[in-house]
Amino acid sequence: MKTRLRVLRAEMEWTQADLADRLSVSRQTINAIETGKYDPSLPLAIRMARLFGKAVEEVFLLDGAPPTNTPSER
Amino acid sequence: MFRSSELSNPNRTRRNVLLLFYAAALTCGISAGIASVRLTPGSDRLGLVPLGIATMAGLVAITALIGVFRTADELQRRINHQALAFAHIGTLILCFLAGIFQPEDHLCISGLGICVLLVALWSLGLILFSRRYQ
Repeated sequence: MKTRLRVLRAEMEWTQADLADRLSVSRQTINAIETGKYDPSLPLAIRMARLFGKAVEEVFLLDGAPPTNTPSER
Repeated sequence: MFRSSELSNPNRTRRNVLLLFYAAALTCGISAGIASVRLTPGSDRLGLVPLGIATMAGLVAITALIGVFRTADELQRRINHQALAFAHIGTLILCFLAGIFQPEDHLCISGLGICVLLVALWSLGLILFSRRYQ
């Protein structure tokens, strides 16, 4: 699974530690998600998407899957 | 924009306090355990006091450790599960091998040795599986 987390975080000018604190997870978790070594659980993915005001599909992209219409595009 | 220093993570603070409790209880428990075995070899009644302290400290340590696990986030829990699986399977295989070779007096593991082996493999597992996600 690919993620746009790093880009979205950079847009907000947050460090990994900032994001980790906002989501009540460790910085290691944020780093593992950004580098694609760990896929977050659905509740955490939804919390992340809500934090950035995006849909989950706009933050996480499934490898090989065709792009879908996100709620913001409908 | 917020910086990490401006944000407080109550989970982290709670985890640190619990780890401190765990370390203190473990130290107290081990000290009392050794005292009950070594310092009072002749009198059984006197040895019961440090043994009671060791038991209570052990219970506090276990409670604190469970608290630490409950404050862990999902990745830390996954790492811990993998490390525990590694430790249990490693201990199982080594105890099995020890059981096979025991009649021939080649290898013998005491009950205390199994505890040490389990903790050592668990610690090793935590290090190994943490590195996987770095």
